[in-house]
Amino acid sequence: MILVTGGAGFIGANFVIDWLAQHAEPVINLDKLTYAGNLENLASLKGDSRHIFVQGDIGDRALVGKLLAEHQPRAIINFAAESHVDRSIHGPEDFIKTNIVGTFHLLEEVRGYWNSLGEADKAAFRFLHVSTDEVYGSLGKEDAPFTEDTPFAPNSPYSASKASSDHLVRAYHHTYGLPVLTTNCSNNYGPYQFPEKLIPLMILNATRGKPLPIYGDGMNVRDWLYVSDHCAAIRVVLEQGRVGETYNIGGWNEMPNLDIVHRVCGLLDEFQPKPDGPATRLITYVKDRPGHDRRYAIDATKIHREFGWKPAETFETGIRKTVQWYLDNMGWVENVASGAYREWTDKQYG
Amino acid sequence: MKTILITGGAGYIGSHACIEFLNAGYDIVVLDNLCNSSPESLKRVRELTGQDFPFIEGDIRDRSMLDKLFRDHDIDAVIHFAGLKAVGESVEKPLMYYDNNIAGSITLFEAMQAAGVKTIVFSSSATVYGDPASVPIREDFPVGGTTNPYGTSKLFIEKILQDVAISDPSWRIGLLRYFNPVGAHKSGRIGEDPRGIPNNLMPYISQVAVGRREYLNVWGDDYPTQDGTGVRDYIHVVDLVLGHIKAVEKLAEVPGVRIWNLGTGQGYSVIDMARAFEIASEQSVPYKIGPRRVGDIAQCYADPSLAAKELGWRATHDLVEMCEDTWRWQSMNPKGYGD
Repeated sequence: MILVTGGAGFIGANFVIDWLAQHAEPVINLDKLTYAGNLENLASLKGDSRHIFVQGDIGDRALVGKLLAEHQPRAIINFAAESHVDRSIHGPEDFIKTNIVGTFHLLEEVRGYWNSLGEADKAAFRFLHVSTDEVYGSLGKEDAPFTEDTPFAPNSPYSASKASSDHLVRAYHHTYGLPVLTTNCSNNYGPYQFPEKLIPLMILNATRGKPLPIYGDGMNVRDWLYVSDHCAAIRVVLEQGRVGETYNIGGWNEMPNLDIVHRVCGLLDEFQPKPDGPATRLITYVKDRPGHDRRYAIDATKIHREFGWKPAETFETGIRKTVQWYLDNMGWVENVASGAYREWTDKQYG
Repeated sequence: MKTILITGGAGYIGSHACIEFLNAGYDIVVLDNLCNSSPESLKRVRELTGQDFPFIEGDIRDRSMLDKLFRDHDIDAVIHFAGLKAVGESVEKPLMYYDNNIAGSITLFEAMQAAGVKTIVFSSSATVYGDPASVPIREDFPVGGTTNPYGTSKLFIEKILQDVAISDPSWRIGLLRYFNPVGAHKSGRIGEDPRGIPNNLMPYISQVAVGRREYLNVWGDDYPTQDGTGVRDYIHVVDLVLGHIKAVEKLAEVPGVRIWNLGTGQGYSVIDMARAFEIASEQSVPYKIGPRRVGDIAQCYADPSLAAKELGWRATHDLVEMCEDTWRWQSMNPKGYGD
């Protein structure tokens, strides 16, 4: 049994679905179901008794303590986090509460549980903390990509909260001996991503004939990783990672945002040509966001060197699957594009 | 053939157990103090099965009676239903509950030990799980956190039996954790006959349908469930007692303590139950929403797979049958055994 937190969100849901497709081992899925968590993401698991869903907060000590006692998981994968940088700029408090204080409470309960285990179970136990490459800060054009040894330099409330939780996780290993692993991953894309993030937002807006907002000059560079590859890397680190280590996970694929938008537009024109012209006509430049990091790039050679892991998808194949998935699942998109989401886009781009 | 002592055999579940054990070819001896049951139920068990059996009106706290019972009858196993079961009353009268349930059980176990009868199936309850963080509930979930003396008495008796088994590994003990038994025998001749205001949902609904009560009180419609009302695992009483026969058979193979959930694995809300009962009874079941009751949990249903795997047992009656059978009993006996 493993416990996955935040398993109704984008990456978490993909992880749970992929896990159950490949393992017999059951999953308890603890998710608060905030705006970004959606049980529809897990609809394909309906009737699968190996998936036990519990609505709740990682900071709810009583709940977490009981879940650990009931299910005695051998590992915890902590995806639960507030994750949208723009939201963290408008309202950092939820980020501090969930990402820092929530992780602290989770770690405390896990420490108590871990201490109650027998020696063999204690040694085999893992707490895998899923984090971001944004903790390393921003890069100039010519700078070398982030390695696991790059000092943390978070620039947004979001990345600061993740950096803080990464440090707590590290400290629980060094102070209490908790067998932790941390992964820092670049930008993910793929099915079930909430349509506030770049790629699904572009797909959604383009299909509705709405403007495609580009921050600044669109030349902010990110590394992009297909979500299933991220999930596969987490599984590798969970089973093989050295306790206390951090592992960068990347797509080996740096690209400016504007290029991403052009690729998405090209695929939309191919799959769903519109009489009013190419999708790129909808591109609109908007004022850059504060503290917008210029470039992230991740050096993921450690996980490759130690475990031979590399992404299976290229950006070409991954983005094609992604655009196709969104076009095939417009019902999902409509359903998650709820009032909260509209309110948010109004505030952001209205 | 084996002889089974059924304590509390005149009660709701006990009387159904009498029928099914007799039908399965067992001999039975029934012990009941009739404090919350009617001898009429046993009369009807005899009618329905066409078989006679000894009935001892007595109390499990009466050691000399028990010694005599075990001398007079060659008992192979005990099915222990006897106990007080009203949650609310247990809060008001904890000493009475602990005396009846725990002291009574200890006296029974002592008499069994003295007589060399070491196979027992104990009627426990899902209440021992307290407020679980997740559902479905497996037998290896932690127990504790009971919120009333009734639940605590079940928890303690389980503990006592587990300790007895540690002290003497030749005991064969089945702890059956019931979810929510409902329904009645297909004949409509025996069923649940609560005295006073029913504590449990199903008898309450059926009394509303039969016109004995004006409407159903729904305690809380703001739980995190599909319609906001509490979700429980309702199991047909006949399925439940068939699980006891399977447990007795299994215990004959292996000594020690075994725990099995007896539930369907399917959760139904209060509103689901009221609607299903309306369909089965063709009567209306009006309800009023009230506040949450202290100590009630949002949802509780079993993972019944261990019983399926180890006992080869599975509940087969669905919700409609549970309601139809309850309704048949209620409408044929609007005042229970009292008329």
